[in-house]
This record gives sequence, structure tokens and C-alpha cells, in this order.
Amino acid sequence: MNDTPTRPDAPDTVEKGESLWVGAWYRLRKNKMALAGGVFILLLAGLSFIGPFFLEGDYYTNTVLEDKLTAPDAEYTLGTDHLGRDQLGRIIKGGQISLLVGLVATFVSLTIGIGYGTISGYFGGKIDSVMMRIVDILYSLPFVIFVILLMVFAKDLGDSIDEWFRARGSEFSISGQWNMLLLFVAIGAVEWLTMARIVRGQVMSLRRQEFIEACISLGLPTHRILFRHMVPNILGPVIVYTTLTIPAVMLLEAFLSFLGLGVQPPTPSWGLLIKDGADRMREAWWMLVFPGALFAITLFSFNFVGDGLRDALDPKTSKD
Amino acid sequence: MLKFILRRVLETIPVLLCVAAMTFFMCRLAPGGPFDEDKQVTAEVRELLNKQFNLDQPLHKQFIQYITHLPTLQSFKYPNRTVGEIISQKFPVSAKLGFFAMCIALGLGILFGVIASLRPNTYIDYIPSSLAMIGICLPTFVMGPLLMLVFSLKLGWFPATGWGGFSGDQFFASDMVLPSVTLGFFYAAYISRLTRGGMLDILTQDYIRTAKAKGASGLRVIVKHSLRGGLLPVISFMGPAVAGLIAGSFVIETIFAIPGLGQDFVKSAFNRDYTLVLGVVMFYATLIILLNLIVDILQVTLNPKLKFD
Amino acid sequence: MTNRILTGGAIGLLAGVLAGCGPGNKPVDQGTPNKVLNITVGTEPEDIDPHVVTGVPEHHIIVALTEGLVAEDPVDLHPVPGTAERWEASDDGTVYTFHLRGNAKWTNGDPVTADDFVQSFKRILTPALASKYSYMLFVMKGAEDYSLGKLKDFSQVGVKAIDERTLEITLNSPTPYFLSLINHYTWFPVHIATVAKHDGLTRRGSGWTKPENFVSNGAFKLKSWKLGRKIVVEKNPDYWDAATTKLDEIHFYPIELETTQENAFRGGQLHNIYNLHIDKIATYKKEHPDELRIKPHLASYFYRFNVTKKPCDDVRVRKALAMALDRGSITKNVTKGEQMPALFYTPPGVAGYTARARIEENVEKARQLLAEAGYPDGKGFPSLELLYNTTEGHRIIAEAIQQMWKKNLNIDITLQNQEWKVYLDRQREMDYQISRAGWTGDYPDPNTFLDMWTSWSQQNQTGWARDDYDALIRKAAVTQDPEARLELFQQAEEILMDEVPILPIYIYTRVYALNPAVKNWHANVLDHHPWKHLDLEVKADE
Repeated sequence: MNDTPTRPDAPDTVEKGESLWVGAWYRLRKNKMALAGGVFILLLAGLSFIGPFFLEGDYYTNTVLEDKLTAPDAEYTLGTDHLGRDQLGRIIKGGQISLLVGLVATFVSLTIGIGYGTISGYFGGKIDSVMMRIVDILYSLPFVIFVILLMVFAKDLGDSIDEWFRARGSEFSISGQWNMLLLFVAIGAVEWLTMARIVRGQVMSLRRQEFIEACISLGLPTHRILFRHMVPNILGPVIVYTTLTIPAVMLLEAFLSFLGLGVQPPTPSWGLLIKDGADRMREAWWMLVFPGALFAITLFSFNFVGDGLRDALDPKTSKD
Repeated sequence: MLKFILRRVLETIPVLLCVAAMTFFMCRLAPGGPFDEDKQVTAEVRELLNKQFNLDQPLHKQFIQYITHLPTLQSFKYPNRTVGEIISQKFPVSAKLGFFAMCIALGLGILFGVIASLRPNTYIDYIPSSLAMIGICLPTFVMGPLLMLVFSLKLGWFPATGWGGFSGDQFFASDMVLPSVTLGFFYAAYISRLTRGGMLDILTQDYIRTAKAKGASGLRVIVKHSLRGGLLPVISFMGPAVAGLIAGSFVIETIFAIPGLGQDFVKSAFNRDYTLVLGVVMFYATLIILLNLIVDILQVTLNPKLKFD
Repeated sequence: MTNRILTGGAIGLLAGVLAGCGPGNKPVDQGTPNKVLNITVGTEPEDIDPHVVTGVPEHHIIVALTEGLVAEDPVDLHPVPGTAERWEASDDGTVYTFHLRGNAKWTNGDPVTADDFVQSFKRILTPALASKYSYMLFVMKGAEDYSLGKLKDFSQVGVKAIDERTLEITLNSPTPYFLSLINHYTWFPVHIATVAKHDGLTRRGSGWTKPENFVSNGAFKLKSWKLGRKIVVEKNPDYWDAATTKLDEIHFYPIELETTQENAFRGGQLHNIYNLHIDKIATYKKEHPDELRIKPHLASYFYRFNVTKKPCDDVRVRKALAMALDRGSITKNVTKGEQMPALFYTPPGVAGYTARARIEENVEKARQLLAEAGYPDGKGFPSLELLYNTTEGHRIIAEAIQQMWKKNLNIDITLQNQEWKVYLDRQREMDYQISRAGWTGDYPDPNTFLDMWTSWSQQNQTGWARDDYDALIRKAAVTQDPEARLELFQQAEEILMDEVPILPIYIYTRVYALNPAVKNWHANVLDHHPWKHLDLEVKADE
């Protein structure tokens, strides 16, 4: 790296764009838990998204009432649920859904949150005041009401969209997926608030650092400062918080399922499966243990990967 | 600083008005009314009911009445109680639950986070981190019943449900343990993560190396030099954490049969109990805004690079 | 800093744990020998004012505190003397005269008079109060008109206080089930002076039901009501039948979640589980058979068809859907509560009525009907949505039925769950195609089930109406001869099962658990358990 003595809090990575990422990859490879986590996630994604192609169409909805609540055995590897559905198939589909919700909703919140927080923190003053007050307002709204209203109102919107397409002779139907889309929006629209706050906090403290002042005095255009210099430096906390957001989103989906507002049956999600399992903890332990363990391990993995990325991207931690 | 506080207080008023307006109108827009139920009634009865509760008045008049008389408004679902009564009787329970949970969360979280940050990427890091993470990898509606099954039903150490003992008035009662731990564990996970992250940020900074080089003991380094800065992310997390505690307490309160406000927060929406919804929302809104203010003040006092502006 | 908080909190919690721990500290262990019943009846009651509530949890608490003209026999619920010690009916069955007992008193010492009943009936029928259940009194002459504001003078309504202890009620027509009807809490008296003092005559929530104000006339009186925590009632020593009352106190806990009820029960905090989760029945049968109770209930689980919307406007489609189900499989494998598969609507076992009409479960015929309706083998069948309110139980039944229709008729339906209020709204507005529904009988007579489907009933919500059906129900209301009356109901039910505007699925059972220490708890189809007869007995080996 650099031999010249630097001020204790002045990162020296600004001009070394390329090597930051190369160095990061090198450090990441050394983190065993993060690698293990990453591999697990890839395997899981593969199983969830590609696996179903090898299974029968109704692998997660086939109800065999006579076989309900059977413990794991030769025919049903992971047991059946209270409607006689094969748990293995349900867990695979549930993984698909939960991962989808996690990734998409987080992506939504990420985009909005980073943009919002950066602008607010960078410009400060009146703009920041107004923008943060808006965040306060949205934060104070009872989340449940917002989601209920959204899930209820916008439901009719899905039907209207379908009608619009039907009137033009198209077979396109969105209403089947509408509930899922709504879920993404509802959850994403709530999670971005925290992201914006954290980003704003980071940006505000970064902004006062000398290298930014230097950029400004050099006359660099604002958008260049924002995207070329600010954003890469806030990536660390943002990535850590993102990997906190994905499991939070998945947990939120479980909470919504607890209220009946999440993914609708017969489509399973891990949240729904875990809830069904928790209710029958003593009678059918396999309904809780398998989806629960898989859920927990997935979340663990995301966390380890996030940690690893954070450690890898922040050159300061490598100094020891 | 005083000017800062004053300005924030002044800014709060339009914010609260906005929150009230949005909540009020969202409620009215949702289908279903407070008096709908299984056994249908005639249109005449519905009209008379609406009249009794002033729901036939023009909306803006109702809105003004709501915000000026909020604590004295009757709940639609429990007409014998006013909004003020319900909140004042139930919030202390939720507050206590939240407080105990936060104590456990802070205690466990900071402890685990600090230990983990000492030797990153070794077992000293992995074990506390993993333990803490259980809190965010298991939903509360799983952890609660699990803890109840083991510690209450099988071992008999704690009562399964309830709050405040048999009379309900005990200040410390054994039935407060399991709910607090369940709720607290969730936040302990976040806090340990943030502590570890914040500590790592600080511990690798040059001024820490200087302190170590000067011969300061490890503990002194941690507590005196690092903790303050390392806890910064934790502090900025407290605002949303408390907000989350409020929503999260619903699950805990339902599972453990705790008479707190969290349950009402959610049920009043399902019940279309307009007055109670508005009351609880405004109460929590004011609380959260106040907390955010405190958090912001703390952030500035602890991080000299930030200023009130 | 954090250290001190942590240590303080830890010590405090430890102290609390030590204080609360220990055997024999459990509410049930303490309650049983002291005649204190710890019970849950589900959700928190909205109020205990019998004129403004409509729910079942409210019923259970109100009947502990208040008593009407007649009471219920604990075993088979037939009317026995309550506040009235005897009564006579006129020959044509339209005038009843009740003689109130001399020692019936309110908890503040006032005697219970006939005028108390007159004023109470007046209150519940007063339009301004907007009682949701006032229609229970419409068998009384002039009651409906008064409640609609058409009749302004209450003295024209068919209730008179002949003297302090004699009450005369005049009905519109002979109503054979009248004595069972007046057992319902809408006919209970309230202490009008107290209500008036708190300005509650025409409004809700006046506060007259708060423990410090409440005056009642039942076997128990209200001791305390801690919101969300519990309602405590204690034995009323001035009650005329106090010698029968064995319990000292009853503690009602509002616990909604079934799993929480069960945990509290197993943890020794409750004497009962109000609703046992269906997937736990098998375990309880094996491990706690003396606690498990599965009893028939006067309630029907069914689906409503919106006969004004496609495709359920075609009776062939409705019949096909009704015939293509295996209800036995549903009650055996899905609901598992030993419910009776319902091939007719009215639950049997009241007033000697068991329906003759039957729906035939026949997949072949169903397929034929569907083909006749224009959808051979399900081809071209329009989209069909099944609406239900968000509850686990309804979901799994709906899913099972969805599968059955797919398998038997090759049609796909979508399931839509809505939360309670929205679901109610949509049903009332007839914004649904098929909707899950349930109905509990208000009194033990087929009329409470069959008059729902008349063209004038608010509960109909299907858009279906038939003149001959209306005529049968109207005639049954004025027929005194029980045999003839039941025959009219049979005919009505036959029309109902022929046209199937509703799809009966099963007759409910109540599945719950009860600590064997609770005595004199007799199961009956209404699930009424008069509190004054209950007792708690410590088991011999404890």
C-alpha cells in the first residue's frame, strides 16, 4: 500500500478504484465461513430455482389427506404436513418464494434508500431537514395498517389491469402474481427508511472529511462526487446492513404470514411453513425442524457472507 | 443545542398533523366498518349506529374532533373505555416489556459484539456471533413457544403466560422472563452485529494502535477508547429498534397473553376501531419522534465530527 | 454504565424468578381447592351490557352476572324458573304471564320488579340505541315497529307490568319456542336507574357497566375488570338461589390464540382450553382423554353461493359443486373434530327436528350436471373465487375442497382470504362468488336456521329468494301444532337442498379441553353451562 504517513481517519482508497475490488476478493477468499455461506446460498438458489424442473408440477400442492402428518419415512423424506403434502417439495418451493421476496424487496429498499439517504446527507441543511422529516412521518405510520390497506386496495388494481389487457385481446394476466408483487412493494417500501437513515448518517460524517472538501474545491461536479467518491465509501456499512435486511425481510414475510397477509396458500413460503410448524411443535416436529433449520442456516449464510464482504472491502481491517 | 431542540419541536407539529391526517384517511378508505359483524343488521340500524358515534358527520369535522379530543374519544370496539384510558393502562406493560427486552438485548448484544470484534475471523468471533444470530434467524413466534415448551412446560421454571403474576400487579414477576428474553434476543442479534462492526472500525484505526503501543491494557483500550465510537452505529440503531419493538411486541403479547398495547396496535386496525387506531398511532408517533430526537442529540455528542446544523 | 443497568436488571429478574417460582403456585392448583375457577372464553368482551353486544364471549360473562325471566336446566337446557318463579300461557299461545319471585334482588338491594323488564325491553328497542340484536325481540307485538320508529308510544308494545311482580307479554303470533327464546341475553333486564344515572339509556359506553357502577341480578357479581388481563366475578350472596352457587369466584381470561390457551392450560394457569387446535386432537385422545371434550354444537359450516353472478347463477353448476364433494373425508382428515358431514343445512337434535332432505354425493352425476350446464369435463369453466376469512381452519378446508373439485370436476378455483371486516363487507355487498360462512343457532329451534334464507332476512346475502320458501317459513311462524310445524320446516329444507343457494359442509362440534376437577359441566348443543351449577372438586389423590 502506501508508505507515506496518513491522517488516522483518511482512507487512501479513493484513487485506487480497481485494486480495491481485487484486494477485496483476495481477502474474501481467506474467510472460510463467508465462503461456506456463499456456497450454501448458491446451492440453495440452484435447488430452489432449477430443481423444480425435475419435479412433477404439483410437487408442493399435492394433497393426500390420508397421509397427513406422517413422520419422515421412506416415501416422504421430510414427512408430510397437515394436509398430507410432501414437506420436501414444500420446502423447495418455499425456498424459492422466500428467497425471491428477500432479494427483490431488499433490492427495492436498497435503491430507494441509498439514493434518498445520499442526497439528504450530502446536501444537508434545509433539504436534509425536509427529507428526514418525511422519513419520520413514514416511520411513524403503523406498518400493519399500511400493509393491510395496500394488500386490500391494490388487490382490485390487479383485476383492473387484467381487464385492461383482456379488452385488448391479450391473454396476459397479472392478478395471479399481483399478491406477490404487492408484497415486494409493501415490504420494500418500509425497509428503505432505515437504509436511508443509516446512509444519511454515514454520508454526513463522510462529507466533513477532507478528501471530499478537496473534491469540492477542485470543482468536481456534484454527481461525480456522489457516485465516484461518496458511494464507494459508504458501501461497507451499506453492505452490512443489506445483509441484515435480507433476513429481516424474510422475517417480515413470516410476520405477515402470521397475520395472514403474506404469501397466499397453497403457495408456501418458509415463513408460512415455519408458522404451521410452530403451531404443531409437539405433534409434528418435522414440520418445524426442517424448514426452521433451513431458514436459519440460510440467514446465517447471508450474515456470514455480508460480514466477509464487509471485512474484505474495508482495507482498514486488513492492516492487522 | 437549545436552538436545535426548539427547532425540532416546532418541526414536529406539522409532522404529527400529517401523520394524523394520513392515518385518519387511510382508515376511512379501507373497506369494512367498525360495526360490521357476522350477524348482519338492517341498513337503518347501521345508520343509527353511525350517528351514535358521529360517523355521519362530514369527514373534516370528524377529523378536527378527533385530533382535538383524542384522549377522550371512545373506542369503537370497547365503548366503555376511552382511547386515553386504554393507552394509559396498557402502554406501561408494553413499555416494561420493551425495557426488559432492551436490557437483555443491550447486555447480551454488546457483550457478544465486543468479544467477537477482538479476534475477527477466528472462533472467538464465530461462536458469539453465531449465538447472537440465533435471534434473527428464528422468528419470535417460533422462539417464544420453544422457550415456553422447554422452560415453562417441561422444566416448570417459569409460568407459561401472563404478566405481573397472578394479581397482575407484581413489579417483578417470573412470568416476565420468557417474553423479555424472546423479544430481547431478536435485538441482541442486531446489536451484537453492529457493535462488532463499529468496534472493528475503531479497533483498526491508527489511534488505537497508538494507545496499544503506549502500553494501555486491552480492557482500557476497549472501554475508554473504542467503546464510545464503536457504539455509534448501535445508537443510531436504537431509534428504529424501539419502533420495531413496538410492532414486534404484538407477536410476543399474543403468544404469552400479555395485556400490552402492541396487541391493540394491530387488532384495532383489523377491527376498524378508528379512534383507537388514531390514538395508538399518534402516541407511538410522538414517542418515536422524541426518541429520534434523543438519538440525534446523542450522536452529535458522541461523534465530535458531527454538528447540529 | 451499561454494566450497572445490566446487573440491576439481572438481580431484579432473578428476584422475580425466585419470588414467582415454586410448586403449588399455579392458579389452578390454588384455585381448585378454593372454588376459584380460572377460565377463558376467547376474546375480550366488548361490554357486559346485554343490550349492545352480540358475541359469544360476552354471553358467557353476562349470564354469570345477569338473569332473565327464565333460566336453563344445566343438563338439557329446558326452561326452568329464573327471576320468574312460574308462568302461564294463554290458550292461543300469544299471551304469556310471568310471576316474578319476591326475593329477586339487584346487587344494590332493590327488588327486581316487572317494570324493570318493561323498561329494559324499551331500552333495547329504542331506535337511538341502535342495538344490533334487537331483532330477537321482534316476536313481541309492536316491537319491530317501535324499533323502526314507526311506533312512537311504547305503551302500545306488547309488554305490560300488571303489578310489581306480574309481567304480561303479548306476541304477534303463537311462538312455540318463546320460552327458549327469552333465555337469550337480549331479553335480560338491566338496572335502569343505574343506566339512566350514567346517561346510558340511548348510547354505548356510558360507563354504567364498570365494576364500581355495575348493578345486576345474577348468581355472581362483578368484582373487577382489568382490561386485557382478566374479569373477576364473585358469588352474589343475595341471589335468590345462592344456596345452589358453589363457586366463590370466576376469573375470565381473554386469550385469543388457541395455542396460547393450550400452553396456559398445560402450564396449570387455566381450567380449560376454549378451542383446541384440531391437529392436537389425536394427541389429546391418546395422552389426555379425560380432559378432551368433543361435543355436537348447534352450528353449521357452509358456503354461500352468489346466485346473481356467473357461474353460480346456474342451479346445475351449484348442484354439481355440491355433489362433487366427499364431506366425510373432510371431517375425518381435515377438520378431524368428529364433526357431522352435512348433507342438509339445519343441525339435528333440537325441537325433535332432523331434516329429511339430502344432498347426494355423486361424482358421476355431478360431472353430468356440469356438462349439461355447458362445461363438459370442466372445459371453459369461468374463473371462480372462493372467499373466506383469514383463519387457518378455513384455509385448509378451502384447500381440500379446491383439490376435490379439481380432481372430480377438473375445474380450477382460486382461493382468496380476506381479513374479517373486509370479508364481511364483501359478503354483504354481494361482491363474491362463493363465500365461506357459518351460523350458530340463537335458540334451540329450526327457525333460527331456516328463516335466514327468506327474502326479508338480513342474513341471506345470496340473492336467492323463492316465494314458496317464504310462504312456508311464514306459515311455520304461526302454526301451533308442533308436528305440523316441523313438517313445514321439512318442506322448506327440501326446497333449500334442491336449489342449493348454500352448500352445507358440516355440522360443528365444540372441541375443547376441561380440567376434570370441574364438575356439573354438562355438554349440550348450545354449549351453555350455567355457572351457578358448576363446582370444583379436588382430586382424591392430590
